[in-house]
Amino acid sequence: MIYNTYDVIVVGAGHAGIEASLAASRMGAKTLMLTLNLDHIGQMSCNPAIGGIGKGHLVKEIDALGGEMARAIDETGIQFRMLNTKKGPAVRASRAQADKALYRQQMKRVLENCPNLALRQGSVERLLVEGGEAKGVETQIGEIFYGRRVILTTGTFLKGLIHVGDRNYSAGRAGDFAVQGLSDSLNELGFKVGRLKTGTCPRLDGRTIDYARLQAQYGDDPPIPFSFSTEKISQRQIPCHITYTNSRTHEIIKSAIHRSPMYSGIIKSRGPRYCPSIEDKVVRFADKERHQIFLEPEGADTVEVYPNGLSTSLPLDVQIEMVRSIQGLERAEIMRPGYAIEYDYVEPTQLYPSLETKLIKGLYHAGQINGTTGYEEAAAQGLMAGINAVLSLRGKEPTILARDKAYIGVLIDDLVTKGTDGEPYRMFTSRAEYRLLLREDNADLRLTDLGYKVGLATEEAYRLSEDKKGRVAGLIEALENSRINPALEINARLESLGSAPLRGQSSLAQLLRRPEISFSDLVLFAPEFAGVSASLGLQAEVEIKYSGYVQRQMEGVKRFRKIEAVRLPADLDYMAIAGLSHEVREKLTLIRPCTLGQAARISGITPAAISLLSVYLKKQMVA
Amino acid sequence: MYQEDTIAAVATPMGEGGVAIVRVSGPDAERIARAIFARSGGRNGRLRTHTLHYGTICEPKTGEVLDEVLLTLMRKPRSYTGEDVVEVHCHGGPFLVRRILELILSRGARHAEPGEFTKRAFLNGRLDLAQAEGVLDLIRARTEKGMRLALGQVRGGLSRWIGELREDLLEILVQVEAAIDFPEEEIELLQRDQLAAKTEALRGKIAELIGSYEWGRLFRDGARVCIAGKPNVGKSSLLNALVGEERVIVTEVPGTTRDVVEESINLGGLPVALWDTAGIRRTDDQVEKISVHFTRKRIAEADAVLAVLDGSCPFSPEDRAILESLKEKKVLIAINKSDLSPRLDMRELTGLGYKETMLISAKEDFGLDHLKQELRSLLLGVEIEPQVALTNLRHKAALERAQASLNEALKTLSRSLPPEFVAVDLRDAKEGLEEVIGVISNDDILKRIFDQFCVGK
Repeated sequence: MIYNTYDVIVVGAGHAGIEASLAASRMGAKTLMLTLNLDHIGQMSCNPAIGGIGKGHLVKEIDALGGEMARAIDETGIQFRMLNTKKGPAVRASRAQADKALYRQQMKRVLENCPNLALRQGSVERLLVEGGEAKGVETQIGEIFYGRRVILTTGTFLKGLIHVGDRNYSAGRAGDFAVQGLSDSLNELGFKVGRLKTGTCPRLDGRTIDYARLQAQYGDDPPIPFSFSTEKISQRQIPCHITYTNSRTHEIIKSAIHRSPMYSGIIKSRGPRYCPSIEDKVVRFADKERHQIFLEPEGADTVEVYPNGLSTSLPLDVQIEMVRSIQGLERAEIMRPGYAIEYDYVEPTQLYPSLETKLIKGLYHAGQINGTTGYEEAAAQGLMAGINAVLSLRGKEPTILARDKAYIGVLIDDLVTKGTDGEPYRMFTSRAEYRLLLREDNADLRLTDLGYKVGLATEEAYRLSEDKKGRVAGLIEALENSRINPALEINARLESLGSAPLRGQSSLAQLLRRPEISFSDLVLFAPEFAGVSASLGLQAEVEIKYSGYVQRQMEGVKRFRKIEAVRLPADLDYMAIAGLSHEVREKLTLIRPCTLGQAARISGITPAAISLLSVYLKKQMVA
Repeated sequence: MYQEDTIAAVATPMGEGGVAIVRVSGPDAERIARAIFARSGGRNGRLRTHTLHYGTICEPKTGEVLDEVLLTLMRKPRSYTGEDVVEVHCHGGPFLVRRILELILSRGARHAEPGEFTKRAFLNGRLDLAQAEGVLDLIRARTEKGMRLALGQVRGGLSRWIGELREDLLEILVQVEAAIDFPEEEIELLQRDQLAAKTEALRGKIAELIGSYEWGRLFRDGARVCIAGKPNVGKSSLLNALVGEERVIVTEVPGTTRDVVEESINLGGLPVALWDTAGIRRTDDQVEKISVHFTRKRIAEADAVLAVLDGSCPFSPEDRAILESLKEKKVLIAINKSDLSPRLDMRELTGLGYKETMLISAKEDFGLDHLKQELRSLLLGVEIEPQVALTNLRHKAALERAQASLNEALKTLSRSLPPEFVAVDLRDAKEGLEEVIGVISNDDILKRIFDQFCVGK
């Protein structure tokens, strides 16, 4: 059976698949999205939440580029919190709990109403390749779809295997079938396929939880939206609750540890250190007396609760005992057991920075298939893969975000240059060298123009961000040029803010440089600035207050860009370069970095090797 | 970075040995060799490559023979560095070797940094990376061994020391990063003042290491001491006595030492070049004027000055003038001819601010050991000799950068700025340290956070 030919075929309807499909179709490409189960589009397999440290940054960037995730969570979020509010602007992060069911519905609605996009239920078992180029896909029942570009966003479904205690069964996720043939297909094509593991918590029946003695955690009031285009959050907000494991919990876990598939050796693949199971935590940090558990409601219309921090693959009877030992959960019923899942992934060093595979032209990989963990990491990759697939159809150069431009750039560069090192990759702010420049609050200023250029960000969004840039500059100038003289009331107000009095003439900008003064305080001294929006004020504040640091990062960026600008020919024969060690030659040949900068980031490549490369390139240019 | 000039250095360790080798590499190597090397038997043709030639090294201007040597020329590319290489095998006296090296440098070569020959060998493809790194290690060991021979100590090595400093720094950085990336975890994070204390301690260690550079430089290049004083106070006698031989003409007539005479002595492992000078006095004699000019120049270049006074004469205006001209220098005052009846009023010296002086007699060999000890202390300036010394200017610059970053970090901490700014300073400092040991890595931090803290959900 042969059906239509598409420009872009997206395999998978998870967070990566959604962004890829929407991006491609919105850019005007005829797109097909294939999913195993149309009811599980946008399913959150694990934590019912979007955002967090590093992740929130990704979501903002996705929004600025014209992606969907931020808007969807704004529509369906039931608790919004800013993290790290007491720390600086670069590390403040947005996070929101989602109503899982609403989120799925929202995404499905958006997809179904998207022009150029066809949705199809089917399980892709084989890739069709001809002459080293992707041609299309074939499903379980023999359906064939032709596509000029194919994007794989298969999540944890490739030969997924769920483990609960010593039992295991094939599944892509609890309640979904796994995909068996596709990774064989990839293997046959020559891809290096590895195996990773992740896990999730049991789901509890909220009616059986005793909240009375537990601490409640409310979201921010008012909740602050993710998307730059959302005015305000209208969903009803619901709090989480906090509880802790105790020594009895730990005892239960320790005495049953041999029955855990990780510890009994049934699972050999590595799991993410950043998402350790509760048994991992208890074993590695034996002196810790208690571990925090966040009880997160999975929606406004369901009793299911997600006990964040209790990821486990221990047998069900142990899970029940363990849960019941925790304060507030003495009578809790488990609705769905926690489990570990092993799945195939494709080592991402086999990709170009555009996310196109090096082996097969026109084939792109995005999301957990690349060894990442997290919905946001997946969505970011899906967005870039979708954009680049369409750009390549048009004969244009792919969009590569540099490390000094976006966290998305850091993410993809880390994946394609360093690989996963056998462990799932999650974003943290410490991964970004230019953290001070890549803030949530300036994602729109950094990326909206790019989103507009590729056709995803709206003209209005573009106009707004350009306008904002101008207004920030104007505001800063106004603050620098303002004059404020020492006067009794001025100094009294300064004192009330915990700040030193003025001794001579100063400016508002000077005041703002004091750590204890924020933009909103300035209004006390200069009421004419009262009308300025908070986000504008924040931009100005950060640039003024931290200008020294921002300068230093900018200088670092200049040096970085110089070495990034040195392109390495794709056909460079590293074996022929005298002076490089065998190991270095192998690594360079394997990864084929595009720039000298990327080469420098490959692990094991020393500065001396880079010097040598640089000298070699210069000689080539002269010759 | 890779420069295309000609470098030269002593390839054999400092100290006394039968043979020393001065190695020259670069485009001017052959030209320099031809300028200073005269083959025995007066042969003048083109030097054959990869052949040992016997002859002498001469100072081209004066024709003075410095040494009988064996010289090899290895034309590129078949040489150690892949460039033209000249090696001069001379007698191993440190003073002599220094002179030959200086002669070569004066003809247009630059002093090589440690390991620079091997670096060129690597860049020219004569060695692969693994070999180069191996040789560099060896060279470093050789230089340190050379230093050790001269110093009689220094174990451990710079890399290990810096590696430890980096560990200290990472500990601090990890605390800061963990606080940023895992705010919801109940981590026992160090308070700001504790972080500041740790940072301060680290800064101190780095400052110590930077301070050792001067110390290390003195041992590598040798210290320079100028003997100054008015004519006929016994400078030349003193020099002879310190060196232990009659090298300089000693006569009664003032103004005999026209040129600056240099001798080399070993003060407890520290190589010291002693410069005797013409007695400084006002004169109309042209030659003497030139000598006096050179003297002043040498005083300016000296690491310390040994000011000699004649204890058997009263304090003269010339003495005063000399001492006043030494105000900016490290000075040791030696009152010579203490075997004769003293007529020098000490109060003149204390009046000028010199409280400690030494009584010596060059003729009677009195007080000289004490003088040597004091001189050494004055030059080295430290009570306790550092365990590790910097000798590389690039390393020093990198460490200074790290130190400046830590200063910033302390300021940032004290101003209660948010942790991500402290992190910027700490990372800068880390890069400074890593520049020295040649390691760059971003992954260490995350690994450590997860080893140390129970984080993640």
